[in-house]
Amino acid sequence: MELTEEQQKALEQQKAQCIFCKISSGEVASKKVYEDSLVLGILDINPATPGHVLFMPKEHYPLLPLLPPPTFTALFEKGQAVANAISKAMLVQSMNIFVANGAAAGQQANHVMIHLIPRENNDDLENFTIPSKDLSETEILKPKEALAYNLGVMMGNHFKRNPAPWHDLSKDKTGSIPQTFTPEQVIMIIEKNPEIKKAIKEDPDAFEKLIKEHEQLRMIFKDVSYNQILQKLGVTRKKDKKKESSQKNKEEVNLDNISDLL
Amino acid sequence: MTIAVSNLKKEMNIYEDEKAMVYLHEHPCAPGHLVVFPKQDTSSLENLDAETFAHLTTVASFASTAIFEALQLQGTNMIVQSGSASANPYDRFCIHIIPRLSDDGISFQWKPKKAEGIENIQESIRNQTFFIGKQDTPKKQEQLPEEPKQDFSDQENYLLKHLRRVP
Repeated sequence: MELTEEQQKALEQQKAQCIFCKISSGEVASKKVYEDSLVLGILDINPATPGHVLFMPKEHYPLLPLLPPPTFTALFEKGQAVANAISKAMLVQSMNIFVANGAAAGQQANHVMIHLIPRENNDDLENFTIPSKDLSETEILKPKEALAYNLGVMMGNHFKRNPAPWHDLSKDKTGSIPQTFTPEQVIMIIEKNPEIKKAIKEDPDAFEKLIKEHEQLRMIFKDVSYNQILQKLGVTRKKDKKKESSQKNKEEVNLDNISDLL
Repeated sequence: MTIAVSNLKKEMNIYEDEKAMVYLHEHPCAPGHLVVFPKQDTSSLENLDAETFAHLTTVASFASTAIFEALQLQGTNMIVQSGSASANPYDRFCIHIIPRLSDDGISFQWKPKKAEGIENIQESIRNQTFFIGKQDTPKKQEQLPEEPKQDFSDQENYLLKHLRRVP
């Protein structure tokens, strides 16, 4: 994942205030239990159970998918070794590892970390008993095809980049992942690109033609109704088509914008 | 009640390779709830070699990205369950991938406890982590210095001499 200049700036600011960056640099004291050049394990000062360890990359990354592969591998390989060490030290045989991606999932710090939580019977922690919702089999199976296809392609690409001696590449799925957009996402794309918005507002009919001609636009509008989008944007179609020719130039500019976006 | 992984329905499977398999959870907490299992039949993290566990987490991370994109989520949780006290409903080690939205009513937030005896805990964990990375560096088989050959003929002689001395 590449960051834009603006995101990079925001990240620098985040880093400067990050308590876990200060802990890994030694500026703030902590109860370290493991440390190497890439990763760090410290005891949680408000543990879920005794021996609860926060395990993190030393470098600041706000989200798990932003970790470079060597750091990702170190985080989980060393994380496993530390988890096993905790089990031995705390004399327990069970372990939960908890990761939250995104604030909606309960991620509290914007420094990626995994929680290593030793478990024993009657330890008074019910949080990792995962609740179940009453869903019909059709509802459960609904995302199956899309997920199976996408995960298959992702793993196929992963093995192509990182061949494993134990893995047979011939059965892997290949191809690209088709992206579909919901009406909300299409609106978001339009809002992020004022020039597109302007073009749609000024001449919705001409833009509709453009969608059919332009491959990337066609992709974006593939699963949404153009009329619905117009409605959400509060645009009404004009009857006169005199302006069409004057719009052409502006739309050429838009295409570059769209390519950047994708 | 423990769910046997060998009895999981085939139609719930969404991915499989030599070491890992991914299923849709049969009693999900939200649509798209996935579970990653090792092919190796073990309930404990300690029995998985580092390469296998790293592969399982890679699969889990891609599975998390896949549901995040396909279901327009706001977040995901990854929860590893290892051992009988880890709330694992399966008879095997597993990693749950849980779809999250800000208003889904799910919370895994635990009640923070006061840290008691944190110095002692730190020391006993440090004693165990001390060996990480030191154990698994491949050791060259040290060549033992050859044992000096014993000169048995001499010894025999010595014994014989000794015998002769016995009156």
